[in-house]
Parts: sequence; C-alpha cells; structure tokens
Amino acid sequence: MTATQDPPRLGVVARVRDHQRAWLEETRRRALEGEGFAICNADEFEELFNALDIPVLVINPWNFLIVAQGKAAHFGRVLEARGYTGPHFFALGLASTIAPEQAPRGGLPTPAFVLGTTRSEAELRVTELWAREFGVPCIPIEFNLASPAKTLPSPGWWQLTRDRWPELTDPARLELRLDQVKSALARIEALTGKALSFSRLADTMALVNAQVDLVAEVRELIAGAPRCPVSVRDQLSLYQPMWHRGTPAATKLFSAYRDEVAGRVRSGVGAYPRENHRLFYASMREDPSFHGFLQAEFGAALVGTPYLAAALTYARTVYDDDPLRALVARQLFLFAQTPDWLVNEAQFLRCDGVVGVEPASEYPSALARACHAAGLPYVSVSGTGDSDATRRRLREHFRRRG
Amino acid sequence: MSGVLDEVRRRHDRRDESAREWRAAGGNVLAYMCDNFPEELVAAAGLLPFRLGGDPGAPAPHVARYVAPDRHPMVRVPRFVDAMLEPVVSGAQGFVDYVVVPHGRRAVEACYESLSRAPAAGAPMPEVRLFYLDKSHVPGYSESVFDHHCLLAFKAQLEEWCAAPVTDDALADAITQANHGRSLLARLNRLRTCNPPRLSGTDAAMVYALAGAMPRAAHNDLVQRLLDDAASLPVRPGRRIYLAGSPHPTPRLYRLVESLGATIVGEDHCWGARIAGCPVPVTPSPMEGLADRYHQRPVCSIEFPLDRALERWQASVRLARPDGVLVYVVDGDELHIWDTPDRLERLAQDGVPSLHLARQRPADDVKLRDRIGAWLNGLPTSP
Repeated sequence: MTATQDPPRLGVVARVRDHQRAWLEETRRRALEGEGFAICNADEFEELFNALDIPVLVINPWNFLIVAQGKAAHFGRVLEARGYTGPHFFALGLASTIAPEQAPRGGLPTPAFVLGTTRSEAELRVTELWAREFGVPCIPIEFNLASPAKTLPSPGWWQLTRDRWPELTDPARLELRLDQVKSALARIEALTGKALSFSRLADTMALVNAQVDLVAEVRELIAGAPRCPVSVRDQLSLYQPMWHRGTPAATKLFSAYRDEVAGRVRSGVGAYPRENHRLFYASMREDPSFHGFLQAEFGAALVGTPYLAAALTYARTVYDDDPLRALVARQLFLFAQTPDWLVNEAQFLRCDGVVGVEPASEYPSALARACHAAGLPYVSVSGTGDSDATRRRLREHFRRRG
Repeated sequence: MSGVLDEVRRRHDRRDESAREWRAAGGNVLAYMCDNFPEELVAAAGLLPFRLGGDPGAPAPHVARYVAPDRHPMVRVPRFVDAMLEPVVSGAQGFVDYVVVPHGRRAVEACYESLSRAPAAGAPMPEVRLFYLDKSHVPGYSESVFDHHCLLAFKAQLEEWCAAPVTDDALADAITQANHGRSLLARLNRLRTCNPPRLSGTDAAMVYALAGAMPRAAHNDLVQRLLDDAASLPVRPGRRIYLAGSPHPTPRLYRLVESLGATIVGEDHCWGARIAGCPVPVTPSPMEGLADRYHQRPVCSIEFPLDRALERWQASVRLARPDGVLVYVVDGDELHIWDTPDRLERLAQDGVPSLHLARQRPADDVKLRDRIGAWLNGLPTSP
C-alpha cells in the first residue's frame, strides 16, 4: 500500500517472518541430513505431518515466496522452455525444481514424496510431474475442499463447520478419503520410518481449535474497535501461522497477535490514518496496490478480507474419539466463497461498502447482487493493480455514493 | 457419394432432432457431459441419453450473462464447456429434463453449481433436475468400490425420477445394444485406420457425435448401413494425421485439416474414436460389468498415473499409423498443457513428426490453415 502515511505494522509480523525463515532453514537442514520431508497442497495434510513430526512444505506459500522475490516471470520461462505453456502460479514450485539456480533460499532439498492433489486436473499433473522431477513417489488422494458439493451449502453454512460438520460432508466421499488417507499414512510411515500416534493427532486437533479461538478473538476486536486496529496487509501476514496450525509455535504466534491487537484497541491505535469509509475487500488475493489510492483520495480503508472468516472454518469438534475422521471431513469441506458468507463478514466488520476483484462483465455477479440486496454499496475491479482504469472505476463509485 | 453419408451429415446438422422427436412423443431426455458415462442405465430406465455439446466458436451470451459472473474466479473455463452449457441455459434445448454432471475437469464439474444457480440468476431455462455423478480419478480397490456405489446411487436416482425399477433384464438389453453399437463403430473406425483410408475424419466425427444424440438402435442402424456402403467409398490419398489434445465437439478442425488434402485417421479426445472403444465386459451381473468399465475408464481424460495415460495414447497413435500428429490444445485447457511435452517426446521416440498448437482460440482459422498447411507440406512422404 502506498498511502500518504504508511500504517504502523504489528510487531508480531516480524516474529512470524522470523519464524517462517527459521522454520524453512530448519526444515532444509533436517532434509539435508536425510530426514524425510514432504511437499503437499495447502489445507490437506499439514496437521498429520505435524503430528508425525515430518517437516512439510506447503506448495502455495512456496509459490508466493517465488512471486514475492520477483521470480515468477523467470520460472514462467522455465516452464515454457519445458513446453508447459503458461502462466501457471501453481507450477512455480515445479519450475524451481527444474531449474533450482534461482530458487528461493537455495532451492528445495529432495522430499521423501509429494502428496498429490486432485483439486484440479492441472494440480494433479503438476504434483505428479514435480514428484517425477525429484525422482520420488507421488501419492494422490481423491476429493478435497475444491470438489463441488453435491448439495450446495445452505445459507449460513459457516455456522455449521465446527460442530455440525457431518451435515456438510458427503458420506461416501468421506469413507473413500478416509480409506485413502489411511493407505497414504501407511506408505508415508514406511517411507519415513515415523508412526502416527493417535494421542498426538488428538492433541493437534485440539490445538487447532484453540488457535482458531484466538483468531476469532482478533476478528471480534477488529469488528468492535472504533478504528480498525490491523491493516489488511498485516491481517494477511498473520495468516501464515495457519500453515503451522496444530503446533505449539502457532499458538504462541496467534496469542501474541491477539495480545497486540487487544493492546492497540485499548490504546485507541488505528492502522490507517483515515477511516472515512470502512470497506470489505472480498478477495483472497494480496493487499491491492490501489489501496493507497483509496486512502489518499477518499480516506477509505480496507478493514477486512475473507481470510479472517476463513481461519475460523479450520476448527472441528472431534466426535466418537476419532480425530482422523473430523480432520478428513474438513479436508473435504473447509469453506465456500458464497456471497452470503462474504456479506455476513462485511456486516460483522461494520463495513459500509465492499470491493470485489472480478473479471470485467456487463452483468452483475452473485456477490454484487447479494451486496445490493443487503444495502451494501459494491464496486468491482478487474485486478489488484493501481491502474488508471481502476482509479476511474473507484472514483465513479464514490462519486455515485456521494 | 454415399447416400448414407448424406444422411449422417444432415442428421449432424440437426443433431438434437431425435431428442426433440423423443420428447414430442412423450419421452424424457437425460443430458450428460462426458464420454465415460453409463448410458446403458439411462436407456434401461426408458430415458433418451443425450450428450451435451456445442460449437466452441459460437457466442454464448446466456452463459456470459447468467453463469460467468458467478463463477469462481480461479476456475479457467475453456470454450467447449460454455458451448455445452449455452443451449441448456438459454432454453434452446428445452427438451432436456435431467442433466448429469461428472466429476471431471474442474470447469466441467463446476457446471453443476452453475446449472443449480442459473435459474435464480434469471436464465430463461426450463426446470431441469440435476445429478452429480461422482468418480475417483485414482485407481485402486477402494476407488472401485466407491465408483460402484456411485453408479448404484445414479441407478437409484433414475428409479426415483422414473418411478420404476431399472431391472437387470432391461439393463442387459441396453448393454447388449450399446456393445453392438461399439463393435459397429470399431469396424467403422477401421475404415480410417486402414491404408489408404476410406472414411474422412470429418464424417467419422459426425457419426461419433450422433452416437450421443440418437436412440442407440437407430444409431446402430445408421452405422450398419454406412458399413454396408463402405465399398462405395473412395479411397483417400494424402497425409494420414492423428489429432491429439483438447476435445472437439464439432468437426470444424477436421474440415480444415482435410480441406488441405489430409485425412484425420485417429484421435484421442472424448468426441472421437473413444466413443467406439471399450465394450461393457460380460459378467453374471450387468451392473457389475457396467461399474467395472466406468471405473477403468477416465473421465475428461483425467487419469493417474500419467504413464498409464501415455501408454494408452501411444497404442492408439501406433494403431492409426499416422504421417504426423497434430497436438491442438485450446485456450483454458488445464489438462493437456501438462501431458503434451511427454506426448511429443514419445512421438519423437517413435519417429513421428508432430505439430503442437498451444492456447488455440476458435477465431484464428486463416492463420491456422496456413500453419497446418505448411506443416503438412513439410511432412516426409510415406514409404
């Protein structure tokens, strides 16, 4: 964000960054010493690997690191040279293994395996090709949070995710995935020499729920404070500990996050110089470049994104002493980006408008229609850049709002 | 010129005519979206199975208005998917009573939610009842059990819709008829793979497309008459080309290639010779046989591991003995981007020349014709 005055960053952001760096270096060291480490997609197997004490690299954070280092174009060319016509964000990690010279942090050591995903036909192939590049097995597991639900989530579905999750889960898919996860675990245990402990997994699931509670406190603090205490940029940075959910380290980071935000609220510190308009940023992309323009021109602040609400959907109540079933059910349904969910979040955060990022269309999206029905002014832009077209669109929006 | 071929072309121009007639006569029509589909169950339930398709080059204004604005921004949708949706969403195919969406490509499976929500968005489509037909993309015993149960769930849904049981006898009859049709299509395909070929890829593609649009008995009769007429078909000199890559629901590219003097003698996409292949195995229970075939065949060409898909494909190419392979991948095809380099490598190992056309859009016909023409002219002459 480029504003007249950059908001003060939370101190815990630096702790998270340091933790990430130290964790990656530690993982690298352990892998180089011969300890098996894993690569998997986000929101799939992290808790299981943490419970197994197997270091895990989650694919998209690694890809985001490549983007943050300005190397996406380079690795796009690497893919093109292999015949994979792009661009392909998901395959940046594969590219960093094909040509590791410019990979972040010296590149990835060889994993014991890649956990494949059938989240889409492309992701299935990319994980398989990545495993082949390393010369290690690819273990695919069917169905996941991206698989369309046979019964569309009912209004207010987010109130069911923690305790009434069986209502959101297709029983046949759950049984298949449980079978596949158990088979995968047996194979992983054979490959790494580590064994999953039931009590460790139960503890991990309990820790995840406690961490979600901490994020829920932060969300309520943001919603209730007269001025937004945490910038969107920091909110996104503080999502990173979710990749380590279920670990004591994540609990420490989320506790520090909650404490620092509570302190800011007590002291009346706001993240933004001006807050004439509280806007909900209904996108799961980065803090947009046009945010500075919103601040400077209209005194408008983005006070929330779907990430806060998404974090709450990781919690699951364990029934029948079966943490694996609860976890696998969550792998099948985490959240759905339905318009009612986004509108609910905007209203919870006391927003007076919503900004969406959507392909240009002459027709209103479902989100636009839902905002209109809820009396929330809505404006969509086609990207996160601070382009002339985006500025024109935002100016027109605020002119109409008066 | 064969009179039967004239009939094929005429029927293909009005591909939904049989379904309209079926509906007008009081029958119900069930539309589906993939070549790996248990059409036999649908026929045994007394419904007409109708495969959705359309011209990816045609505008899709109703999809743009009622579907596209609500799609997940991360899902890339190739034009052939919109081409399937447009006639349903617009109401042009108002004869469709039921739509079955497969667990296939992400853009295809997203049609389930799109069709669920389109009426509320104002789409002028009649009410259709939807079913999501699951299938695992991964091989294995647990997965075969799962796929088997998916078909049983589909059978139960059909029985509920039709308020009548799907009997084993009816299913066995439907399987017999469909297997007969597949054997006829396999014979027809030999008119392409023989050297020199006698049947153009364009005409073959139309026959295949009609297989998912006519009652099976009528289609079998059409193919049988075409086979009876085969001796009258002239031989086709010129380059033998195999078409790989994205699906082609219309023969537009076939016409273009064959207008340059070549013949498309084989392909691996889901609107081609795959429709002929893989009869339902004969087992004591027709349902078991159907479930076995459903499990063993890929949906939307999604198959794990890659090597298995490549081996199947390589065998298909070798059977066709092409002078060259045209690998045509359309813009938004998220599947074939990733297997194309391996395919090209296998072709090179077999000494088969290839042309890879990536991220193709339907509007570039003149440039496309020039490019393919130049490639065809440069191919070595067959021994």
